[in-house]
Amino acid sequence: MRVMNKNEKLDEMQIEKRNKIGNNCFMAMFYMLFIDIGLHGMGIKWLAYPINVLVIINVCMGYYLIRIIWAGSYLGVRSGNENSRYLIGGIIASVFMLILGIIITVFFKGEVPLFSNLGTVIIVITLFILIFLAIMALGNISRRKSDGHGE
Amino acid sequence: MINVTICLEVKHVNKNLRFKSARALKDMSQKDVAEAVGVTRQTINAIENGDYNPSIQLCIAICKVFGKTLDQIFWEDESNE
Repeated sequence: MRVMNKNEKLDEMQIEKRNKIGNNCFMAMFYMLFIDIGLHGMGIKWLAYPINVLVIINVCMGYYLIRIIWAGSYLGVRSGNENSRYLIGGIIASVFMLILGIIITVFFKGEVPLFSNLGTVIIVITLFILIFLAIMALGNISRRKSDGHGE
Repeated sequence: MINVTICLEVKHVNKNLRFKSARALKDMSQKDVAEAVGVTRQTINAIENGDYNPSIQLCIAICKVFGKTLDQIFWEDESNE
């Protein structure tokens, strides 16, 4: 008898933990955005407009990812090599995006302001994505190691 | 004379020892049980250590793997705590 989620990924304890962490992170993001708006209203600008929201969202996302990996709720019951393949694909795509962002920032700066902004945004996003992928890879490794020590 | 009372907080250990003994009787590792019921090893470990209360479905699945009843594995009374 198998007791698993419909998508055959996470078991019941993992889902419970993930939901709890997700709620915490959502509330954290809400309050951080709220504080950011308050600071903006008071005339304090710690970062330019699109980047500040991006940084807050990415910080919360990173926190969420670290917490779910720490709680063992990132990888499901039947996670095999597929995750590794996705990770490698993600890293390659991110590197490509990073190069694209740098090219847009360097070559289109000054000529078209929109492109200049876009390049910065792409660089910031891809840097965060690369950090997340690195965290995921570490999570995969630690999970496999811990599975090897089953009593 | 001053009396000093030291209060030591004793952590209540709520391990499911019957689960562990049933697993040992079947000569199964946590990983084997986890694979048999379709959960992660960490979940089985948490149940054994009393850190997680499984759903009734999972309890039944575990009992079927061990060939025991719910009472024998999960029921707590004065003699079985």
